[in-house]
Amino acid sequence: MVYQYAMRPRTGIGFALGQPYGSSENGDTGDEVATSQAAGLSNVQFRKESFFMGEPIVGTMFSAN
Amino acid sequence: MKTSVKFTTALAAAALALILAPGRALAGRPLGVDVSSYQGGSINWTSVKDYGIVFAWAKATEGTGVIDGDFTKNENNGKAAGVYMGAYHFPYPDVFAQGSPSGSIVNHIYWTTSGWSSWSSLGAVGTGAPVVCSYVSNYLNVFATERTMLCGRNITPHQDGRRTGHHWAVR
Repeated sequence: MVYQYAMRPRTGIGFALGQPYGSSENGDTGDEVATSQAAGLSNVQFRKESFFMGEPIVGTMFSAN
Repeated sequence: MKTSVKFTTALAAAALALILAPGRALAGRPLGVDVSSYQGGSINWTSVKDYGIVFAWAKATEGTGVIDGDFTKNENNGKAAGVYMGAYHFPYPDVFAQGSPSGSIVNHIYWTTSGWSSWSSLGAVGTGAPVVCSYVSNYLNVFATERTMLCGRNITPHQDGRRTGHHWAVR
């Protein structure tokens, strides 16, 4: 997975936005694979884009300690 | 006229390059990745950082009995390279969350109490099969209770409402 960091202006809560499914281990989109490989990661698994279709983008909420 | 054609052609080429460029939809915001032992234990985190990856989630545990063999290495090396490191658990909530997921959490929750992560998340990667909502509710309830009990923090779940989201975060 490749996540994008975003922050809600009013609350200051950070999110990592990503696809609702997949991971570098069990399958990423073509863009994610390309980005991860360009960053130097190996064995990033590709999964057909259709696996992700119809599913909403999910935000991952987090906050640094 | 020739200039106009050249300009149009150049513009089209630039647009095409943007469309075809890897990560085209991923630009503009700080990026993060997730890693596990599947990527091997020799990730060059300096290269990852230099490429522009700001944060990463390293898999700590999976299911009820798997501890990622490269978790510690990834956390240490990633942090040393200046990447904000988090951790995730790979629970298969669509398979066995109905029963007693507590074992998979409590037994391997060391990564949340060891101070490894600046933030942590509870991965919800499953088999791709539809998830029964009650499974997820049960899973989250147990996780929240135990996580709060063990770490003195509150859970912040986030899911898409139809099936499992990719992660729930804990803070």
